[in-house]
Amino acid sequence: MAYEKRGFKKYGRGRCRFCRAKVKQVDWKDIGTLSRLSTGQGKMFSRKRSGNCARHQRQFKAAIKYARFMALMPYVAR
Amino acid sequence: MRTYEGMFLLDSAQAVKDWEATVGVVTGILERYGAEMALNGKWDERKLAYPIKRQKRGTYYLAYFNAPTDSIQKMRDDLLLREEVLRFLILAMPEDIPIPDTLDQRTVIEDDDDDRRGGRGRRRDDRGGGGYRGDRGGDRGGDRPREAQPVDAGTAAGQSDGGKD
Repeated sequence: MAYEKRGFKKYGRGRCRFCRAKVKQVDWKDIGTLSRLSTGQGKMFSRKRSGNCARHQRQFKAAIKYARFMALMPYVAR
Repeated sequence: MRTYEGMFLLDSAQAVKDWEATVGVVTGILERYGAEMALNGKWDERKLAYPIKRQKRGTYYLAYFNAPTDSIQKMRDDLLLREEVLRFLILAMPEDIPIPDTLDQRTVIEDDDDDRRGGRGRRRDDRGGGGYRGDRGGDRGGDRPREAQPVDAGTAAGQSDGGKD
C-alpha cells in the first residue's frame, strides 16, 4: 500500500491517461494511442505499466481487439 | 433505429481502379436495408498489419449511419459475399457518444508520463519475455560427428584437441 503510493508520488501521476483527457470511450481507430500502450510485439501493456484505470483498461482491451481484427494492429508482430 | 459505426476494408486495387463503384457496393448494401448515412468517407489507405486475402495494403472506408436494428445482420450477410470488401466491422455506437464531426477525429491523449518514467521500463517490457528464439541446431547434447576421421595417430591428437574448443 505504502509502497504503491510512493510510486505514484514519485512520478506525479496517479490518474489514468484517458481519465485525465476525459475520454468517455477509448477509440479503437486511434492507432497512435493503442500502439503507445502496447509493446513492440503488439502485446498490451499491463495496468501497472499503462497506469490505466479499470474501466479504461477494459475499453482499451476491447479497442485493441477491434483494431487487430481490422488489421490496424498486429496480432503478433515480427 | 440505432446509430452504427461501420468500417469497411476495401481491396485497394479495386478502390484505385474505380472508387465510386467500390464504395457504391458498400453504401448500396447499407442503404438497401434502410440505413440513413450520417457521416461517411474514406478513412485511410494504409499497409495492413497482416495480409488479408493475400493483400498487403487496404483502403478503409468509415461510415456512421442510423439503421433499424434487425437490418444489421442482413447487411453482414450481404457484405460477406462481396469480394471487394476484405473485412468489415459494424459496431453499435454507445448511446451517450455522439457521432463525431469529422472522420479522422483523434482524441489527443497527452503523453508526458512516458518520459518521466524513463526509458528503462519500456525497454524491459518491449522484450516481452522469452519468445521463440529459433531452432538452435537441434543436435544439442550428442557429440558432434567428426567430419574427417584421422587416419594416423600422429595427426589425430592435434585434430581432436582443436575440435574440443
